[in-house]
Amino acid sequence: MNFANPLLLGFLYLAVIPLVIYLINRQRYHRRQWAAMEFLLRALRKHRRRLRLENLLLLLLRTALVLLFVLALARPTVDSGQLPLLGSTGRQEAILIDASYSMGVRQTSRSVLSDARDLGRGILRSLQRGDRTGLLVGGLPPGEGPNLGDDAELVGESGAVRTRAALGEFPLGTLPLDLAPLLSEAAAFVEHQGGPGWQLHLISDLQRRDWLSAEATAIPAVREAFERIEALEAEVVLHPVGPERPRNVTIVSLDCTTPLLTSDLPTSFQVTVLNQGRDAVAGLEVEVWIDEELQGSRRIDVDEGDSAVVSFPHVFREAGLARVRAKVRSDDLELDDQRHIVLDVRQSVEVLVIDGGYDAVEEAAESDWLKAALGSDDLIATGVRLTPFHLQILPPDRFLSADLENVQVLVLANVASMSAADSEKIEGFLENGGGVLAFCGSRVQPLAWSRNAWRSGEGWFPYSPGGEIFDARRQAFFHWQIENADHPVMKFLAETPDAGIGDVAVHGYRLLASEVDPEAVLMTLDDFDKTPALVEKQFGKGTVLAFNIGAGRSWSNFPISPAFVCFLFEAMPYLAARSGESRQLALGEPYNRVIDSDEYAPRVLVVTPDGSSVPLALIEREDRRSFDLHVDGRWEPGLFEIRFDRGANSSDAFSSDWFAVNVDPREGELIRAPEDLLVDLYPALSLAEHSTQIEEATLGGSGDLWYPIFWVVLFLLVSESLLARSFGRSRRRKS
Amino acid sequence: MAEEARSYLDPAELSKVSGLQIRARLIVEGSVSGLHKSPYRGASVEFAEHREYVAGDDIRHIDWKVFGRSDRYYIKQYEEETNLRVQLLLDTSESMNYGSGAMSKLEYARTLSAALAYLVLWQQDAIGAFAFDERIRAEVPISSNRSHLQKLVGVLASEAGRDSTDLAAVLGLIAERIKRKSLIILVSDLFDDVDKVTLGLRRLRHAGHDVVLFHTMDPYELEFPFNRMTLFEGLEDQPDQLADPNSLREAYLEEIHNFTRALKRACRNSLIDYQLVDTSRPFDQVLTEYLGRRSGSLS
Repeated sequence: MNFANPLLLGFLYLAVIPLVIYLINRQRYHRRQWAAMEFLLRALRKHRRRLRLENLLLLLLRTALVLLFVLALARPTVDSGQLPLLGSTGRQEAILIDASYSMGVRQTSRSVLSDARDLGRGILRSLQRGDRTGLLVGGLPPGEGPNLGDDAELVGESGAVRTRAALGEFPLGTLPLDLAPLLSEAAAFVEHQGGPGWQLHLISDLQRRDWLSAEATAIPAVREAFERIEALEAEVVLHPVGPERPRNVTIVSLDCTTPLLTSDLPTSFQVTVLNQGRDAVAGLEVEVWIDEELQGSRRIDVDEGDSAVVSFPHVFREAGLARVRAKVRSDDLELDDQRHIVLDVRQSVEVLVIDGGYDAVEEAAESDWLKAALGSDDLIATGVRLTPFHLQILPPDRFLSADLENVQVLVLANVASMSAADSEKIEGFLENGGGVLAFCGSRVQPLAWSRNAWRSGEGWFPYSPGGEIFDARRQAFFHWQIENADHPVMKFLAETPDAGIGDVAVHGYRLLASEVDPEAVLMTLDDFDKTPALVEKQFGKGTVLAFNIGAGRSWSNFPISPAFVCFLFEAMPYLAARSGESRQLALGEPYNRVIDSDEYAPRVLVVTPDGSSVPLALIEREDRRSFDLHVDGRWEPGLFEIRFDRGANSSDAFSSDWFAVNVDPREGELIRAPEDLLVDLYPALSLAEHSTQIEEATLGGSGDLWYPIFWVVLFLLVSESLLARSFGRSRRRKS
Repeated sequence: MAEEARSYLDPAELSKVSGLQIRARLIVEGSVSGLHKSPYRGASVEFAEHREYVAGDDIRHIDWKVFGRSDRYYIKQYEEETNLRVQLLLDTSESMNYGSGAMSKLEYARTLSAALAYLVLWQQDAIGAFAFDERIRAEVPISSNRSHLQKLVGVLASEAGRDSTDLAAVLGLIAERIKRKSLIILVSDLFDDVDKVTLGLRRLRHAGHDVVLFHTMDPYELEFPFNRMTLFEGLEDQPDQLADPNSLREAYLEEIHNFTRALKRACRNSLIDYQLVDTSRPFDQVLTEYLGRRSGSLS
């Protein structure tokens, strides 16, 4: 049982009033001399029992009268199933509103969401006292929905006040509509309210991808949610809103063509725009801004459904974080008109090569092949550099004394021995986010590597190196097969057969003496055992890629293959990037970083795109030399600054870190699902005949008990009056 | 003028007149005089004086002896002498002190008794009186002298209500005291056991007296019109009782009704005139009603 005015139940104590009046009357009596006392006493003696019964009956009646009156004012309701005979049938109509960011489309001064809100208000206005309603909103980030609880609102004298207020309070969402959870939530709501008779008004712009699969069939999860609602004898009425042919061009991506950016390295920003409307767009202006300065703009034409890539070349002259923003103008939907990235422009990418066959004189060592492939970062005549990599080549015996602080990638080129100290240093390097590329060729001593690097799976190396297979005549060879074509390192090689990764001839290789996780195998040999050729392992914050060949030509022709250069240029950025420290985030994705002690600041703020700031706390790590920085997932797109304030006395008073949050560009697809098709695919769904016409529920419904209680109160009132008259209690005589 | 005069006969108005004798005169002269001839005729006459004959006089009353001496016609005039003896019995018990209006039952009974005495004496009959509660408190010997009224009224007015009633015993005593047959007018609320009251009345009847009963009741006693919770304080040694009048009204009225019905039945059986007197009613109404019925019963 629910109450429309539960606070009034506090007045139930008024039920003691009749008893109190009775007792007070017994105390506050009149004195009167009386001569005919004998007759009075005789009457009392004869009727004492009857009088007591009458008094008790009247007292009970009056008490019940007050109780029921208060109860009626509190307006109790029960579900019709619980009390079908007493409860009057009221309408039960809830509003399900799509607040996903596609509802922000504006063709006039009003957004589609504003129209949807008005439509919802129209539905609420059609409700009458005693009806019940509720509001569920989809497409909103967690915690931003209307906080109405699980209970339906009982419409009172002033209408559905709570729901109407909530309808105007929630913001436009930044997420796509996930229809299945919204419908499941609606089913749970209906179930919580006791079941049948609910009419759910679903107001949506009917984005095709929300309603239909790629094959234009029903989405199973959505269908299941509809079936659950149907099983509860509830009905979903669809109210389509939004323009038939909205204009929308979405920036689906903003990419930097150079994965590892350094200063003076020519790069290019590629802005991919997609026309997701129904009409061609001419003269669309695309802009790129870097650090809030306009770097360039292009005007392009995009046909309906087509995409276009606009390139903006750029050379960063200084190292540091760069904020890049791409933007299109003249559009119906604003939220997908911008995209942001934050890039870490380095001075150079330091690569330390430990060459197992180091020879400072002869240029036949494996490091020479690597040096040839990665190039030199020296400036050329035009003031730019051609490669970001700065190589340092050392023999294995100098590894322990090498400084790895500024090294991003460590290449172990067929290093024979792997001591425990070597391995410990490598583990430390990996834990700090470094990348290791290991070539395990003919010189590798399996026992040392297995004992110190693999360490039965606990070490940094992904497997235990085994014996070698080598055809000295070079007549037998094998090819590589890409096992994970979606891996960032392998993607380009898989998509570009001309790179020749599959043409590399492998004459010799090292067997694996331990099992590896198949998911970690990026390439295998096409031998009988499909021997893993390239295996990945995450260690600490770093990544290891391990080949079972050397980087020279002794076991393969890989160094002279174009695939060698391609592989290195794909692998190096991947290895140089610290895992978990991406600055390009999706909505709701948290930002985590480890801050060194020299970066520590007592006051840290995150500044949102609208300029507001939120304080953050740095949490000291166990090593007591660094701090964890954590920013909760943000639900608004844009560039976020993390501001480190070290105080005016510090030499480096302020510093900033940045990250970018972007919306899902797919939500910008505004193609509408055909309404008739939706009704066919989802039988529980019916289409509203007119958007403002609200059908009345005629079956089921909740029981508003105030009406029957009112009649009971009236009946008791008349009964009390008649009984009082009958018992001679009425005040019909004047004293 | 008649209406104005009648308004003075209302108990509320009459209560403003302090003298009982004046009240009696107002009542009798304002209501009875000129309207009724005496229902009690004397059986013998006594010469009083002569007066000259005028046309229309009964020639049987011409004194022929005087005509012989003076040759003029004179009519003999006689002083009437009644054989009607009236005894007023006034109940002055404590219960008679109760009154909801301008007059208590006792005051009303006194006034009514005085009016009756005035009427009787005005008709040249003899009247005496007794005031009693549980015993006889005062007695006024019977007389037909008009100056007797003053003495009688003085006694009636002096007796205050006190003690309880024992009608059977008192009426028995009175019956023994009144030797000659009389008209006995009893004015009382009769708040005693019905059987005792009946026994007392029968004793009077047994002694050959003609009895008229003025059962005096306050309108509140007849209607019980109270609403609020009331502590009824008993008179004549009755206990107090807290009661809700609304709930008791019907039962009480039923008791009163049974009481008066039993009294009426007893009176009817004993050939006693029963007159229920509501003390809110004007005196002239009560007297007229009584005299009217009395004339009817004698004719």
